[in-house]
Amino acid sequence: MKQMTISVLSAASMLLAGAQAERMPESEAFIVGVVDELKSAADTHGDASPEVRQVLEDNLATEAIGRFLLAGDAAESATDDQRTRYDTLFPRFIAAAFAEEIGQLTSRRIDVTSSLERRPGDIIVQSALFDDKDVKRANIDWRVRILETGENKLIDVLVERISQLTIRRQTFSSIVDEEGVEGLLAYMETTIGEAGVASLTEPLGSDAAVAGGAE
Amino acid sequence: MQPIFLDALLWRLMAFAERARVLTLLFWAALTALAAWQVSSNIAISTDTSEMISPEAPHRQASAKINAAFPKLSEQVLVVVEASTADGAAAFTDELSARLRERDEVQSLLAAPSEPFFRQNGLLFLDVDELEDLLARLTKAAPLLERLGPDPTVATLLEALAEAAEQENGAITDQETLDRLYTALSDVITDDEAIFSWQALLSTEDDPSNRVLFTLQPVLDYSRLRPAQAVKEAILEEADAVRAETGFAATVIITGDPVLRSEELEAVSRGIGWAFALSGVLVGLLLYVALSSKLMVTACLLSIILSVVLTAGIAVTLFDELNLISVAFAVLMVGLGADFSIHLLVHLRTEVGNTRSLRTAFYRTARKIGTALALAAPTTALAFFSFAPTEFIGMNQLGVIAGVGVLIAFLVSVTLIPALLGLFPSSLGRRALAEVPETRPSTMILDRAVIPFGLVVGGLGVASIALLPQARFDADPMALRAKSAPSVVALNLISEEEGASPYRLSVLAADEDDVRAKARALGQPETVDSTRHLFSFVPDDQALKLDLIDAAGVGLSFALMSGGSVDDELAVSIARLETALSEGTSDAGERLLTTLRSTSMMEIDGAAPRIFLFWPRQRSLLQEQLLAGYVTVDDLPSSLTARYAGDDGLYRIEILPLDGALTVRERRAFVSDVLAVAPDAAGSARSALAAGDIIGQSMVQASLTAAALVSILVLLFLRSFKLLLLLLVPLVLAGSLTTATGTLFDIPYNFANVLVLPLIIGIGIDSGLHLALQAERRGDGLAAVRGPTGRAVLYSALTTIASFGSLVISEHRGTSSMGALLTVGMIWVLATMLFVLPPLAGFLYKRRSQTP
Repeated sequence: MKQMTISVLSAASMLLAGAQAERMPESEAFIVGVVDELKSAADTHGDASPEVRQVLEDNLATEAIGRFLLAGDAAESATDDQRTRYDTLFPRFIAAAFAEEIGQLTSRRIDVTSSLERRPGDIIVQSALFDDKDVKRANIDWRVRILETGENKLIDVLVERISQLTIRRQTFSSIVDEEGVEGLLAYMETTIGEAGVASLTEPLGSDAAVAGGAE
Repeated sequence: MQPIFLDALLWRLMAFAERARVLTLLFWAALTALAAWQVSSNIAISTDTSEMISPEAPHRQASAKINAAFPKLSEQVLVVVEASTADGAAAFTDELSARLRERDEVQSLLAAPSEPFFRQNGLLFLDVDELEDLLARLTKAAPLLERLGPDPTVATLLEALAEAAEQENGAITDQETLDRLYTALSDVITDDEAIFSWQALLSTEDDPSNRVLFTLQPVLDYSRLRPAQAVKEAILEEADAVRAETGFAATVIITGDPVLRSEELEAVSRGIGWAFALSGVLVGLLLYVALSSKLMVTACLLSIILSVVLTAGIAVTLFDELNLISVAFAVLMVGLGADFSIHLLVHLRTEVGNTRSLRTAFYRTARKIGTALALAAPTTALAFFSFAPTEFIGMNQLGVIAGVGVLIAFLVSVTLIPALLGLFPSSLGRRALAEVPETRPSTMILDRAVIPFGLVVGGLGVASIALLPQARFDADPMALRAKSAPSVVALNLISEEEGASPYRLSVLAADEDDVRAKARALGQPETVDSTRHLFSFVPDDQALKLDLIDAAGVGLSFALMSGGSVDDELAVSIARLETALSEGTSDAGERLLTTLRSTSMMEIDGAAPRIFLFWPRQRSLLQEQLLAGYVTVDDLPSSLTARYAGDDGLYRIEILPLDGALTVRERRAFVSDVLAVAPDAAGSARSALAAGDIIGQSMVQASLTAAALVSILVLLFLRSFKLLLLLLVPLVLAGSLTTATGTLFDIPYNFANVLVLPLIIGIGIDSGLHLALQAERRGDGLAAVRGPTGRAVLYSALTTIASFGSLVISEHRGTSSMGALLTVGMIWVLATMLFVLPPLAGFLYKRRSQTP
């Protein structure tokens, strides 16, 4: 039987040269707070409910995410009008899209284990996802951006090291390539319309997804 | 009518030298010793061909401004490291560059793959699309990277591959990456020489380059004839040390201007001793056939040697530094020294046999050829001095030296030879070399052949004039260098690489705005590939690229810090992978399966060092790359900044031609387009073309001046247009035929062979004067050819060919082309002198004899 020696958390401070070795308690507290809020909203109003989406909309670095997802060739091909519509739709879209995925994570127990400042203002908060039997099922890493105002905002969630932001950007690029910016806007409207139902990727945190990296 | 006073002058000189023979010999010996000392103590030769053009020329002024702002730029040495894989070349470069930084011979070094700045920020220099592709590939490979850890085994790798092959969503889902891995593994397991390339596996390029270029600023030792020799030796020495100590295998070749020049001198001098020894034997034999006297052959050879040494002494005294063209005065002096001596000795040989005293022979010789010999020296000198006022410094230096040298050669011939003959009169023998009788069959054939041959040569000569506009001067120094020289091989190799053309241009700019504005304008012409400047090294779209790296980097960083899987068993892994592959995945998978089944476990395990040789470097590089940060111009390495930002605040913009501008036509279009935007652009592309144009104009100007001055002198002394015609027609035809032959056979004039033109002028004037005066005296051109004058013309040309024709086999292309063109030139001189001049003389003097 093979044994993987993955020294993740204990060596977190050595992860990246130049990264701050100190933990970032404010960012850790921010993630704990967001997870609790999401859990509470989901318990009270249901997964992917407007309340859950509102919690996400309040805590996501919407502007930075929106800029990143459409940056590059896709952004250059958008007209001013399309850009305005994109900016208007995006906060609701991303909250709706995240609601389903994060909802599946926050329904389980998540323990924050460590944190580090990767670049100034770019924090990684590390956590572990446990199942009902308290068995660790997956590593969940939260990328937190500290805005100029000092506020913490969530920018990405990595499940087993896979960036959801990157996957979503690839999805956006592929839609723009095939259907143009109009196609992307239509897709965003559909996702918002189906709020709580649409999921952009395979449900995260499912047993199948987390099994690969389980210890 | 010929001026008798020139005959008398020659007679007096010869008589004096013969009378005061010991004094004469001592005088020349002392002068020669002095000249030899002067040469050995003070000779300096510049191989910089750009210095051969007047500094007032616009392209040189433009170059001077750039050189003043960036004085070290032209001294850069370029090192090319080539290995069997991209990883090997990069790893070798890491080691080599680290060692070279410690060497005294190296002032600074810029090796991008080993430079911390580029290692960390290299991803920012990719296009956004390329970066996304690469990050996607790395993300897919992350499970494998995590599994391998810092110290992987073959068992771990095969286990990971087995998992990937078994599961659709296993360790690696990308079939393309899997196939690359299968193929590379099969290669390494079956070939003991093959090394696994992790860079090829993890790169988005199909075939990443296995070649690394890096530049260094050498410490040049100008006290040595080859200033770059020390740094070249240091590089090769350290490369050997890297091979010995690391086991990395790579070839290292070096180029760049200082090394090219250094190896050029090596190529020029290699084998030249043997060539000249062979030439010496051939010349000695020829002279013996011509003179039938060992004493005369010795006198002739001594006369040639003294002419060369004395002229060298004068040359070193007159000029601080000789150049690649003016140093060829030695060739001219051998040719012309032999010419004077042979004409004198062939006639003396004839007269010695017909008279009882040596002095009488001198007198009769002076009466026969005094005017021609005495007039040939100043006329030829004047022709050479015509090169002095041109913008072509290389040639005007040669003009002055050769002009003085001709006078020296004349004085040496007419004094040293009589003195030597006077010292050993009994060794001369008394057999006369009589004229060939008109009734001999060979003479009759010559008589019959001369007119048809003359018509053919004359016709070809006239036709050749039509080709003259196509003649060109190739001022590209690369055209001279040996193709086999390592530095030339290296330069040709990198010329094929995108953005590495040696034919570039540079423009100066005052500030950042000026740089950007000029770069925009200079990037417009179709012949321009791209521009480089300091600010172009600050990557575009950094915010987005850093976001992309950050998004993928967090997960990848975790994968790269993993300790890896440590307890996989090889036998189990092989069996598992064989089972997975046997279900049929791809051709590459089939091949790996066959390889695994036909190879013992020990052999598979034995491939580990070759599979993982470059893994630590690749892993560490990936870790560094994920740390890319926002780059400003202040973050660029100083060795890079120094190339584009001068100490005095000026910036340099480098303009690269489309497809390298490797042909003259492409280069001309590129230079023309750039100059239309920036008239002050300078660089190798412009220098070679502008120099070629200036040299072409200078050669025409000098030839016309020489023709005018020679004509005036000849008319002044000889007062005969017919003699002038007899002199100039064969000379012009020989020059035109030589140039046309070079054009037809793609031997353009260059810095090395251009001296053939003055040589043709010199020997042409000399031989032409002798033959024309004989023809006038006898009223029969053929009679002149049949006599000692014809023999002297023949042997003079053959001696010159024997002296330098052997250079055609030189590996230095400049030297080789000199040997080829010189041989061609001498053949045409002979053809026009022996076949065109006699019928022309016959035509001119027959008409005179028919006049009542």
